[in-house]
Formats: sequence, structure tokens, C-alpha cells
Amino acid sequence: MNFSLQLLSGLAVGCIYSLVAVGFSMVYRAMGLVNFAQGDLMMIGAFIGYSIIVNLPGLPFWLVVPLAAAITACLGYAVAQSALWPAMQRGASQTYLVLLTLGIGIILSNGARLVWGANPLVYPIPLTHETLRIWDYPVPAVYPFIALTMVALIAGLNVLFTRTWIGLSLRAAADDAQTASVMGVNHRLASAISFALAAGIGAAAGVLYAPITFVSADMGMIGIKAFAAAVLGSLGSIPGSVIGGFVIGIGETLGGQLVSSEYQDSLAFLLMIGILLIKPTGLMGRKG
Amino acid sequence: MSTIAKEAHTASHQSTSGVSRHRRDWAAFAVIVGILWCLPLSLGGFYLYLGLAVAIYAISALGLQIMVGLAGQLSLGHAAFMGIGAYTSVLLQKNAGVPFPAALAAAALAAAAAGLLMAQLIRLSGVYFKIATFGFGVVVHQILSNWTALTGGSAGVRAIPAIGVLGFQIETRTGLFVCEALTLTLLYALLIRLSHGKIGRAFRALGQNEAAARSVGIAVARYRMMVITLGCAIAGIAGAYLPHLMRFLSPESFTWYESLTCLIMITLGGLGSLPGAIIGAAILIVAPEYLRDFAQYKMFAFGILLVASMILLPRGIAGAGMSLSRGKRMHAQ
Amino acid sequence: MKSSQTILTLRGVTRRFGGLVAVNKLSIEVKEASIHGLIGPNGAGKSTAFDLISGLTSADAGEIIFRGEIVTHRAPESRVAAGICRTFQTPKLFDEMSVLDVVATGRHLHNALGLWGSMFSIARKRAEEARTISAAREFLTTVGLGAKADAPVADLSYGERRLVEIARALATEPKLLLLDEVTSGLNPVETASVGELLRELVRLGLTIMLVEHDMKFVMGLCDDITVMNYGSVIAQGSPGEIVQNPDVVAAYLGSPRDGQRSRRSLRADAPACP
Repeated sequence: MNFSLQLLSGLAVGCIYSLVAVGFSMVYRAMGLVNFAQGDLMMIGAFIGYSIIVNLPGLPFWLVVPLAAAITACLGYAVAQSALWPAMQRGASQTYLVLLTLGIGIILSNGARLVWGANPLVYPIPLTHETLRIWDYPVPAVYPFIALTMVALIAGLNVLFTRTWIGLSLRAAADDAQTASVMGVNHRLASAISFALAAGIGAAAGVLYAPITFVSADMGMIGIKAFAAAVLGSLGSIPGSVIGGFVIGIGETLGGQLVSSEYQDSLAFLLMIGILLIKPTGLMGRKG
Repeated sequence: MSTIAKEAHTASHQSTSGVSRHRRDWAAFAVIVGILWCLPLSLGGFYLYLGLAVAIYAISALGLQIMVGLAGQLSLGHAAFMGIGAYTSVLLQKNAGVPFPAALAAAALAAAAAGLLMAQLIRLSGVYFKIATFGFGVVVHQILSNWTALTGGSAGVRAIPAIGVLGFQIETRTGLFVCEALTLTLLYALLIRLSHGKIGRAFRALGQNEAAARSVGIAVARYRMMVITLGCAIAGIAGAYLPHLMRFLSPESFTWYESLTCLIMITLGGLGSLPGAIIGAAILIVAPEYLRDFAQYKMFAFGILLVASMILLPRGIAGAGMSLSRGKRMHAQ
Repeated sequence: MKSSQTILTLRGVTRRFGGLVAVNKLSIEVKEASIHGLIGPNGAGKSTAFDLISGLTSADAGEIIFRGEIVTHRAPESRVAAGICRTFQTPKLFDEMSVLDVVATGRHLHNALGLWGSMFSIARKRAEEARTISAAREFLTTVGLGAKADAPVADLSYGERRLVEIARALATEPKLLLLDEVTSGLNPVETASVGELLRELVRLGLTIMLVEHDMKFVMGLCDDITVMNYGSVIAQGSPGEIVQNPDVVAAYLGSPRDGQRSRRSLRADAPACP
């Protein structure tokens, strides 16, 4: 009986990981950058969502998500343009760039602690406490929101990347920056837009995750686990990131039940290491 | 802003070869070791305590510097290896009555073995290695916090035994400092020697261009293992001293934030520079002690410091200092 | 002419990337102390051939024999030890070292001191370092950059970077030197002096393989030439035979349809240097 409930909760968390992992993968593809600030952008998104709810009490939840995502995307755009692009332009090493994103992550998470306080916050909306009944089990009412947003966002991204001019330009810039720039695609702009999109998607995940947990400056940890998801699903592959997110979400929830919930975070990483040992390029990776 | 960065960049590139680099490294060694042995011992009291803390983190940062700054193997779990060293050493002293020098060696070996295990288990390069080192850090921290029977869990270990060397019990902070400063001096000297010559060049080649390193016959996989094992062993040594300073041992000294702090130390000091690692450790340990009123801003300030130093001083404080002294010399001529 | 002994033999060497055959049943014989040119249109598989010989990528089929030993699946470092060293299409140096240090890395396999030795044996280390540095200086002088020994790599011109890369390769004391587009980015004066240098090296007994686009350079320098297109050999012979071969002329002028195919195989070449 408990099993299906656990599975549902694993699926829900898996959705969150998937979304953040998709952000990781997008930035990696567009800029060749391992963005350790992705989780912190998600955390900022969750806090911005909190401020929106507090300041605009009448706003329906399904509007809070895109609003917080848009604001965070702007922040992401600014970060990419001001800090990351100049360093990439200088031909900085991978080590340097990772340290830079780590630094940005520290500023974001500790800045959030200064702005919103050190205590975990709870979204003051009914959705936080409401439950639905699915197969007679009580299930947090936010789960359908999570599932729907997840499907909508992934479908939207798919349309964006395959059908629209912007998406095709982003892909062109990611695959071959030089050729793309000859064809009139601005690599700097394309990189910043990809980074902003990833930040926005992460923020949406943060707002959706908030009702089933607390909002705190330590939420960035989720981002690192989402990174593990992106890696085990093959970094740079969007379907891989989605699958990886579910593998980590379900794996750690069920594994936590079977072994011990204290080792839940470890399980996520052991899962990743195990899968990479068997398939070094990740689940969706091509051979060689 | 960018012109400053560019100047620092080009200036630090001047004359970095063979003989002059050799002389410069030993000159920096003389200055730093001189300060290390004079300042805390003569000032005493609180300054001695600061000196103890700085020395421990300087050792740890040296280990991280050769991994990250020299050989380009970014580790996000350095504190975990300090933790392995700390617990190995304390548990051996407390439960098995092992004398400190042997426990210190065991700490280095245990951390090296864990590092080797990590590097072997995760035969991955680039991105995969980075995230795996982070995961390794999380796993170690969770084991330290939850394996209560062995480690005392999150409550930690109290009543750390005094250091015993050759039958003498070192009870005072001065004695502890002498032990630490000896270790740091010795390690620093050995690492300078290592950095000049075949192995050091192979590490730097590995860090700067892997394909080119292979093309001259450097067995990159072997050197990667070697530098990771060495860096982790040094972290283990640093970790073994930590509980003797704190008189208490808890998993909270070995979190992700501690790993990050070590990374900030070497970046602020200057990636690839051994004296830079020590300077960075000194700044990041001493500054917060004098800014206790602003403790809640500590990590925020560290983040700003990291990003600002990376943008303004891409070669860190050591690089900036070097170009400054060269500028003066050129002026004098 | 001087020596007809074969130093390197490729026999049916094949490398596929996904569905594309980057190098198809490549067979080459390289004579000792000669210059062997490997030419062909963009994406013909020349660089992949170099990767296969130097060990950066490994063959799916076929055999590579160097000085009587099968090296097909050996690691790159062990091929350097056997005497094969290469340069890259764009010079790959160590950008934060001095010129002298870069060349000194080439002495890696000639130095014996290990981890403990470098830290603890003071006299032996000093002697070894002195030998390494003076050898590195000598190789720098060989390529004409003796005066730049203490300059940082970042200050070099493109042509000088190529020369430093050659000096580093020479420092490994190879028997066979693989030069990937050694003249691209060089001015005519530099190109001529590189040509002189290579001739001199061959006179001293070195064997050289060139991947090259500058036809004048190749034709004037090489003893033998192999022409590749779409991963396969289309002609082999002396420069005189090659310029008259109709297949070679067709491959270089190409037809529109061929142009398209060649673009495709260019993409297939990309993963060869990760």
C-alpha cells in the first residue's frame, strides 16, 4: 500500500529533478559550461515565487509559476551576459568556469539567506496542505500541477527547438558556433538566452517543489542531485535528462525506504556512479 | 576592469621558466616559512590559535592546489578526505592507543586509499569526475554523520587525546603548533621540489592540455591517479591535526561548504601557485575571526570574494604580487 | 633512395564513426629516412589516419606495424616510447608554461626519477634537470627559437607556436615524426625555412609523414605521396606520378555532388580529436 504512494512521490520529485536537469543540459550544450549555479537559480525561483504569493495574495498558483520563471530568467540572462560570457570569451579553462559558477551559486544562496532569512519558509497558500485522493490514497494537491507543467514545458521545449526560428538558431549555435555566426546567429545572445531559459525552467521547478517541502537557501542541493540526473542520462541530451531525473527521483525515494532515509542523498550519487560504471556515457549516450 | 585583468594576465606570464622560477619559488618559501615560524609563536595567545588553524588549512589547500591548480583535476569533495584523515587518526589514537605519528601516517594512507578508490572507481574524466567528487563528498559526510557506532554520529567525538610523540605528551598549543609548522614546512618544501622536474611538468602538462600531454608520452591516466592520491593524502594529514585544535570532532567540519572554502582559498591565492594556496588559506581563516560581527555575511562575502578575484585577478594574489614586484624591479633598472 | 627499409606499415586499417567510414582499408608503406606526404581534399580522413598511427584513436580493423612490431592497439604513450611522435593541426602547447618548459615536457620518457625520487634524491634530481633543460635548449635551437627559451608561450606568434610544437616533438627523440598541416598559418619565408629544417632532419635519419594542403610544399619535399579521398586511397607514388594521375586531378577539382559528400565526411572527421 505504501509502495504506490512512495512511487508517486518519487515520480513527483523525479519531475522536479528532470526539469532542473534539462536546464543543466541546455546550458551544457549551448555554452559547453557545467553550471553549478543551476540549483541555486531554482532556489531563487522558489523564493521569488514566495514573494509573489505574499505580495499578490489573489494571484492563482498557475500564474505564479510563469511569473517567477520569467523574473528568474531575467536574472539568469544578466548573470550570463555580465559574468559568464566575458570569461568564456577570454578562453578561460573549464576549471575556471566551474569555479565561477560555484561562486555565483554561493552569492545566490547566501544572498537569498540575507534577503529572505535563514529560516525555511512555507508557501502561505491552501495548495500546501490540500490533498487529493488517488486510488484512495491521499496525495498532495500540487502533484497534478507538477505533472502538467512538466509535460507542458517539455512539449514546449520540443516545439521551440524543432519548429521555431529561435530554437533552431540556438541549436545551430550550440552545435557549431562558428558556422552559425556566419549565418547570422549571435553566439553571445544565443548563449545568454539558453542560460535564461534554463534558469526559468529551474525556477518553475522550484515554485512547483515548494508546496511539498520548505523553501530554504539550502534548496540548491536539489540542483546538484539534478545534475547527477543530467549526467547519468547523458549530459546534453534532453530526453536523457528527463529519464535521469526519474531514475534519481524514484531510485532515491524507494531506496531510501528500503535502506535508510538518512542515506537518501548518498543513494542518488551511488546510483549515478553505478550507472556510469556500466555505461560511461550515460543512459542516452552514444557509444564511443 | 578588463584591462586590469589583462595586465595581470600578461605580467604573470613573463619569465616563468626553469632557473628563475626555481629561485622565485624558494624565495617565496623563505618568506612564508619565516612568517609561519615567527609570527604566531612570538605573538602567542589568540594569534597562536589562528596560526594553528591557518597551518591546518594551508596544508589542506596545498593538497588541493596540486590537484586542481597544477594538474587541473577539479575536486569538489576535498573536505571529505580531511574528514577521513581526522576520523582515522582520532579513532586509532582513542580506541587503539596508536601513537600520533603512526596515526598521522594512517590518516594520510586512509585518505590516499579513499582518493585512489574514488579515482579508480570513477574512471571518468572532465565533467563526470567533478560531479562524482561532489557525490563522494556527500557519501562520506553521510557515513560520518550516520554510522553512530563508529564515529559517534552527528554528536561527534569528544575528549580528543593529546598528541604523544616518542613518549612525550604534547599538551600545550605551542607544542601542537611546532608539530603542525614542521609538517607544513616539510610538505611545502617537498611539493616545491616535486613541482620542478619530470613529475611536476607532467602534472602541469596534464592540467593544461591533455591531448598534447599524451602526444609526448605522458601516461595521463596514471598521472591523474597519482595527483589525486597525493592531494587526498595531504588532505588526510591536514584532517589529522584538526581535532587536536578543536578538541572535538564532528562531521560538520567536513561539509560541502568546507570543500568550497578550500577551493576559494586556492583560487583567491592563485590557481597553480603553492604560496598562493597558503596565502589564500591565511586570508580565509583570519579574516572571519576579525569580522565576527558580520558572521552571517561570511559565505556571501566568500562568494563575492571568489567571483571578484576571478574577474579582477585571474592569477590570484600570488600572480598579482609577482607582477607587482617585477614592475618595481623594472622601474629600478 | 638512400634506404628502402620500411619503418611503418599500415595494412587495411579502417576506422568508422557511427555509420561513416572515416578511414577505409588504408594501406601505406613508409620508407625509413624519407618524407611521406598524405594529401587529399578536406575530410578525406588524413587527420584520422594520423590519429590512428599515433594512437589517439584506435582502428576497427587492420594492422599498424612500426619497426617490426604490431602497435595497432597500443596506448599513445607507448607509441611515443616506440618512437612515433606527432604534432596537431592547430598547435597544442601548454599555454601557461615558458617555451623552454614546453619543450622540456618532450623529455618526459627520457627522465627516470619518479614521485619519491623527485622529492628526495637531491643530487640525482639536479643532474637530471640540468640534462633536461640543456637538451630542451638544444632542440629549441634546432628549430631556430633558441632566443625565445624564456618567453611565455602566450607571447608567441602562430608560426613560432608551430616551431615550438616541432621542437617538443623532436625532444622525444622520435624515429617517425607526424606533422599535421605544418605550414598552415605560416608566411612563405617561414614555410621555406620549415622545409629546410625537415630536409635536414631527414638527412640525420628521421622519417617524416606530412598531412599538407600546400601542394607546392608537398611536391617539392616528399619522396612518396599517398592521396586519400572519402577515407580511401586513390593514388600512391612519387610526386611526379601523382600530379599526372587523373583520379587525383578529379578529386581536387571535384564535381558538385562530390562536394556535398565531402562536406558530410568533414563532419565525420570532427570527433577524431575530442
